[in-house]
Amino acid sequence: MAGIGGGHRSRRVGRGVAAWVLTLAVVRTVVAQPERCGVVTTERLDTAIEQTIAWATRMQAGDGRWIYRYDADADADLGLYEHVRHAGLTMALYQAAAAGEAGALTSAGSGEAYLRRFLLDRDDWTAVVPAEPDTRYDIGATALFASALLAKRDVGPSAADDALLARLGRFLVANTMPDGSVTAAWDPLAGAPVAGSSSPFFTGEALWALARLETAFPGEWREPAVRIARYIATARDDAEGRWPDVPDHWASYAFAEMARWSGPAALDDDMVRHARRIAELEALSIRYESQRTGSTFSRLTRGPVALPAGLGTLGEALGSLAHVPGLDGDPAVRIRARCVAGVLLDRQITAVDAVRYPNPARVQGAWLRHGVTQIDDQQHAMSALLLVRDLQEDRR
Amino acid sequence: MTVWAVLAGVLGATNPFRRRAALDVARLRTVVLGATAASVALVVCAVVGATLRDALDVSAPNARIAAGLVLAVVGMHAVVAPVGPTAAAGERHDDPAAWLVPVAFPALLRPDLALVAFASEAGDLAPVAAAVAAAFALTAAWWWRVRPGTDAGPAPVTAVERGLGAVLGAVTVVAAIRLVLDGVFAL
Repeated sequence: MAGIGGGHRSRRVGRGVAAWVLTLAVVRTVVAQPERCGVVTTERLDTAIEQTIAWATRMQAGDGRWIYRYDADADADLGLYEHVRHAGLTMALYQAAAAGEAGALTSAGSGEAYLRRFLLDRDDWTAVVPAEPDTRYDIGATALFASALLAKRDVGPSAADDALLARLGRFLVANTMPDGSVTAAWDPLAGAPVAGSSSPFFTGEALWALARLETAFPGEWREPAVRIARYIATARDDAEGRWPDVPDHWASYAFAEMARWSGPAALDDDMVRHARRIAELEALSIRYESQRTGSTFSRLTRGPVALPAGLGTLGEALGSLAHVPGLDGDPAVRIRARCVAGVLLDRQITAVDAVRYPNPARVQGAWLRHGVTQIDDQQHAMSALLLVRDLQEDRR
Repeated sequence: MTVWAVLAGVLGATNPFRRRAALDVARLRTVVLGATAASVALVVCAVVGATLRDALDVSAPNARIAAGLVLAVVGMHAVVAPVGPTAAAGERHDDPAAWLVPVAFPALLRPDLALVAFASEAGDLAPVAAAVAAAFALTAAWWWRVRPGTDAGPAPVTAVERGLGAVLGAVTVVAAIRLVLDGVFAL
């Protein structure tokens, strides 16, 4: 029986080694890049939240408006203003105040005072209207303003806004269709919801506000909230032609809130399934985003880093869904939420980073993308950090 | 990981019909010894997978996606590329270390299998171990079935064997897609 020479054996081993090295190198370089989830400690979270509040305070004018979109490299206010995101940042600041960050109250109060100038009473409802007359009323502005006032109630119990909250809620209900869809806007000239309009965000915002209203004032809000939740869980993405499915962080907030309702369970199997679907999409997103570094190679293989606002919404969704039945026992949800927090912590502009910019005070504590920041970047990022801090401390 | 995808993926990647020709050794004992060694190595890889992933900052779902993508390439290659004998005609490994080289390495201990093991979580260990044991047992059995009766080199690869190898390649691709989806939609 002929044996095989050592040369042949060496060549085979060499080819085998080459196959291993090449495969693992390509996998590591292109597919399984490191997921940089940072180091998440309560101290880092505290500091980041405080820095964001300080940024909001510095960027706010006397009338309560913020510099909405800011170019850090040019030290330029890019103009633009809209009330949905103003309400969103106000809400986030009240969330921070309710979580013990007393420094957020002043800025939140100024933001609230600004929006109160744009409240319009009609019939049995009240809405937040735009600065420009006769333009459509974004449903999201009213929804987030209601959520802001509800978060303010968490700071210190008060019935001062109860009547207003009910009127804001009725505006949201007036824009909720029988099938549970929520129109994106109200037409003041027609005196009716804009038929067929929809927004990927306003539906969830309305749902969350109504869910929170039900928690605070049980009875009137349950049915419309459940109707919207069912629509989101079973029909929205197809009905509104949204692909991929909307990874709705506002609905995530709402599902978590609905899970807290007293009485019979509000989340049915479809809603729980949908919540899981959102969690899967958000988990996929953060696993991908955490691989991005902004380097040339990273941009080539993974694309540019995400908008800070978008990154923050991942944390809001996962941080909320960690309290939804079916997901609350899964450590993976918390792990992914912490990863979002870690990436946010690593990308926040620190005092050291800020000195590179013409006006350091306007960037320290913020998150930038291509040198620009917008108020919802800080809103969503801070809300996400607050939720993760709660998970760390098992506050809920 | 979906159990059937692990079983099918490991079996498909091992692909006894393609692997047999590379096991150009004289005795079944050598094949069994080498297969056992490769099995142990892969199971160890699965056991330490979580530690390795932590060290490399790779989550289990992303490891699953990586394993699935590599298996897909391996499977497609098995479908489109015919297999041929690796030893020179009339030659076979007959030394005491043949169980190690070429049986365990490089024939059986392959990076695609290692990646599936690497992607294992605690609940996957049993299916991975079972899949590896079954795949290598089948490989040894197929080697024994097709071995030549004389001391001539490995039996030539037949059209039937090529066809079966291609079929397993297609199975590998299906399993790979499932593994990728497992990873994509994991938390």
